[in-house]
Amino acid sequence: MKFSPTPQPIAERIRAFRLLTVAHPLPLAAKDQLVAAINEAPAGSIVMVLGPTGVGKTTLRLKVQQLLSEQNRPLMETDPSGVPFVAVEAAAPDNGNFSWRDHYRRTLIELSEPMLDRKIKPNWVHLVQDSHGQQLLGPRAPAGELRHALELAVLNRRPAAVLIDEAQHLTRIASGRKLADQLEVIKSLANCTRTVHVLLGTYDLLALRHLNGQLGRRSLDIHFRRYTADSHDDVRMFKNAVLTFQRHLPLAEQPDLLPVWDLLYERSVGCIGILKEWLDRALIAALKEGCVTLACQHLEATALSPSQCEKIAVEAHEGEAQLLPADQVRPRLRGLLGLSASAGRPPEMPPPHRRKRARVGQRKPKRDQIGQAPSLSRNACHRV
Amino acid sequence: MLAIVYDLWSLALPTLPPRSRLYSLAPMGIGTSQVESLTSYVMRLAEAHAVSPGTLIRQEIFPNLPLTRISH
Repeated sequence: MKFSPTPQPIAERIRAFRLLTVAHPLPLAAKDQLVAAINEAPAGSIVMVLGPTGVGKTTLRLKVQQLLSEQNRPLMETDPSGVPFVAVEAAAPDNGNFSWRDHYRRTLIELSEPMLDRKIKPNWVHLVQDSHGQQLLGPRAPAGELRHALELAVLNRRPAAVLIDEAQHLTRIASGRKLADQLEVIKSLANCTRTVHVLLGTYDLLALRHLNGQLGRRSLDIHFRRYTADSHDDVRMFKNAVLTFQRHLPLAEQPDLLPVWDLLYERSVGCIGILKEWLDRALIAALKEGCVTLACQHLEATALSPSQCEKIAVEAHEGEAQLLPADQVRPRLRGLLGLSASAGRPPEMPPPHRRKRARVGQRKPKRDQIGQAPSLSRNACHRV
Repeated sequence: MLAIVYDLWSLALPTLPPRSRLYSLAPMGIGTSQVESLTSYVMRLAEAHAVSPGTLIRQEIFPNLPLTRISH
């Protein structure tokens, strides 16, 4: 796509560039993984898409929504009440605690649920049961009517997945005990509706995953990482993304951004979403000044401050360290399971703590001196 | 090093046929002599929407009935 110097008004050119989305390799891989997870994961699974802020998680969600719509189009034509997906953004709590009532309401609005203010609590029907036939939802539970209505709506509308964006807001809870409850709510929602729930969020979501092993068993992680500067391939892909943006900048003269790729990397921390928003701002600055191309001063004037970038980079680095690649985690897992012989245990790992049962009559080795022991054998005394 | 220009992603949703306002529950026993009554169907429809049958009739069914007012 080539832009001639004066075809469109400035506002239109800015809008067109803002809507531009580049299919660079990392989201392409994440998209394939997520679609496969939604289609193949057992009903009621939880899929977590974890990535640093500004890496493009919302763009990924929009792409997956489009694919799910296309994939389920034949079904939509035969089933008038079905929906291909439900997508909702978990709202940041205004009082410090995440509100499920608000979340249920938003999700029901996304489902175009009628009679939202007249929902009744399930005080005579027990539709929501776990595998043992026990009612999971008490009739007096707070927001019980909305929770009940949401479960019924998802069961009847049969979406392929419930996508919850900004899911790290679920962890905004005052106490640790309640954090575990948050997890239970998500698990039971996924279980009762027998629908795959996708949580997209920053690495803060790991707090939920690490809370217990049960979610680990039922959840699948997709790491949507940023481009890292220590990988040659990543740098190459980042430069290609920069080149793609450069080609599509609606300016009379195409700027050459590749010589300043390290500045672009530094202030975007390798996250293409941050880079794109930055280029949006720089483009506006250049067009407002009436420049024919993007200059370095436009980029510098509109960049995130180094301290902001540092904070993002630190968070990303900490999160990445928790989601180590399998070849680094595997020896630790094997060590933990007592299988250290074949895979080798990393030196920092403490030895697996196993309680040995003492046998009656068998002396502990530390009771006996070694080396300079007197010739008078104490063992003889015991060997009676 | 060979530079590559990546493709663009379109994020526009395809247009789907309009979704029904209420869930399309199939009447029980349809095609048999044991088919459920309209009263039973309305009860079940209300239950599926987590509302009382009265609310369903007042807010959804009645306003959409093409009835003309009968005067005596």
